[in-house]
Amino acid sequence: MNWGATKQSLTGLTMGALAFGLVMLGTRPPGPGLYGDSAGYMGAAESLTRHGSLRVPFAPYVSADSTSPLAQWPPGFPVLIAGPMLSGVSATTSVRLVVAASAAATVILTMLLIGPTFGLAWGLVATLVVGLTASVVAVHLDALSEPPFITAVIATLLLMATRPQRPLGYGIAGAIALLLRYVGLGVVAACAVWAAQQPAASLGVRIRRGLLAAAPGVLAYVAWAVVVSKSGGTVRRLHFDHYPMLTLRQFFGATLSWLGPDPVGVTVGAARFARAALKGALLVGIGWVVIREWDNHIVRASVLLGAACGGLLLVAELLQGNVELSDRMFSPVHAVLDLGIIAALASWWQWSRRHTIALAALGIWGLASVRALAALVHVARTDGFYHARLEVVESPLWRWVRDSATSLPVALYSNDVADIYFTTHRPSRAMPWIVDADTARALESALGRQPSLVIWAAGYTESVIFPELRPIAATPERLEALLPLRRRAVFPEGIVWEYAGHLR
Amino acid sequence: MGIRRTLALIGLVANAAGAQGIAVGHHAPSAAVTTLDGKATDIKEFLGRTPTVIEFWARWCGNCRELAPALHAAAEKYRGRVTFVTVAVAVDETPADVATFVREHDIAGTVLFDGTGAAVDAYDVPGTSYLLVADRHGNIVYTGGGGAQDVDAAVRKALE
Repeated sequence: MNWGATKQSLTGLTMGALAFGLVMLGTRPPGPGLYGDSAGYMGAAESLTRHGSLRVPFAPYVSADSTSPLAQWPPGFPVLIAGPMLSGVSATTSVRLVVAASAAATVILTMLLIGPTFGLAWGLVATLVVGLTASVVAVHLDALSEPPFITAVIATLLLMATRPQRPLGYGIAGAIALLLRYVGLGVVAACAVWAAQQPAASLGVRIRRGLLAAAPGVLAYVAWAVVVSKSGGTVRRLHFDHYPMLTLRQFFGATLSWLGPDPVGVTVGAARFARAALKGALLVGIGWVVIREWDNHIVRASVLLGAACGGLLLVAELLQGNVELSDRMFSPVHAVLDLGIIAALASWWQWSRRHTIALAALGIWGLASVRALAALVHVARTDGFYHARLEVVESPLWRWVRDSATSLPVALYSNDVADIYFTTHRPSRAMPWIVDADTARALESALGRQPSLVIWAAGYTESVIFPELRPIAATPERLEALLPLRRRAVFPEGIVWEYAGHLR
Repeated sequence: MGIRRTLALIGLVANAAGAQGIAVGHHAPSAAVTTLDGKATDIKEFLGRTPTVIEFWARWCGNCRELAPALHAAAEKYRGRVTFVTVAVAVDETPADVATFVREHDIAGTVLFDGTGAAVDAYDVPGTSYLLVADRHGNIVYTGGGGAQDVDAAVRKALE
């Protein structure tokens, strides 16, 4: 028996079980963190288990149907959530189980990637580094698709590094990543490039291998596009971004945050300068080690995957411009680059004598991360994140909606459709962000089709639209002036109106 | 009193002005509805021969899903002795949506469609999963809402 391999496997399984347990603990109520995307994923999973179709629980206000085909997101995560739901658990519990299982799988794959090449200790270091990366931990406290996507990307990396001559294997793993997040197109592209780079007898063989690696992803994307098109939706389209500087600022912000998470409150003065200098030094050090160890296949593959995903995110955001390039979006890039850096460090360690510098850098980064994570976990355990915040869930408005609107025989309209879903598990139609005479006419016609209730979350519209649109944003005053709405309930957090055309 | 509390109170008072449901002891009113294939009918057609259980229902209603097993059990237990009617409310539903759902799921009794809201108005329905039981004379002996209603006990009241 190979005791080294057995020990590594057992350690990987133990660490995986630990990760599963920590995520289940970290996502207890008020968790998991809920966002607009979470409503799409969980609603589509509920729709799949109840009606056999992937539909999200919201639609534009003009739509005859209060649900829409799943198109904004690929189907992978809702399908995963639907799995445990078939055994009767709620969507929230199912999300927690899927995210925790993803964390466990990511840890085990990390051990399988680093352990056999560099030894058990480096496998543990890699696991710790990924597990201390703030953006990676943050997405494991939420109901988001990044955790299984990270697992799929690391599985792809493992296959690229260990079986470089088998393009179909990592091509399939890349296709799975694509079915979890559209940025998986970057993973598919990286698979094709990696396959084509491998030594081969001729250019033709290289091209064939590249195409073979890309084929599963391309087929998966085309198949999904056909499904979406048949259900009346459209997959994402690109258009030019009007905010390139904002996009670039977000990109660099997320990268700097990965290099050294900032504790809350450190924003000015010498402390800020010192932190920036440390991050710069860290970046130079990482670049130096990675370049020196460029021959290592894990380093090359992880940099290729990270660059492909990060580059695609940046380009897509520059072209599309309607998603914030947050730490969350970059968490898979951070995870895969973490592994490349650890592989480079482990390889460099074998011949270098400057271990103290590396240990100091790791130690400082680790301490900064632990501090940032402690704050993150504290918020997760006490207040909750975004739509799951106790301040929202327990507010008089959303209590009223939960108690009164859940079974009210009226159609629901809201500027905050995600909270409508989380509170009532009912679909609703999204109110327009801006309102003028034409919009008001269309809205009135929509509201007049059936008894309707409009639930208006104060401040929500202003928080999600671009600042220059705020002067023409829909507001309670403007809506009341343009439409026959009767106030049914008023709260500090919002207003509930009945459409007067259907008052009984 | 703080502004927040005042506003919350206004909210509660406004809510209390909503539908309460038809009172026990009243005669179940008639209300024009349609069958799922579009034929006009009236709820009164299902009243007055045997006790009748009427549920106001929607596909999106979580309470209705919770209540379904109890309704099924009662429909099985009182087959031939009690009439079960499900009135689908026309909120985000079409008769075709409901018909598809009914084909794929076992819904207790006859399913009707309240396309104009006439039945919701006539019975002053406060919410989906609103259940009412009428005796064989059409007098209402039970009303209730939510997913945890004791359907069997409600039906027994009508049979007494």
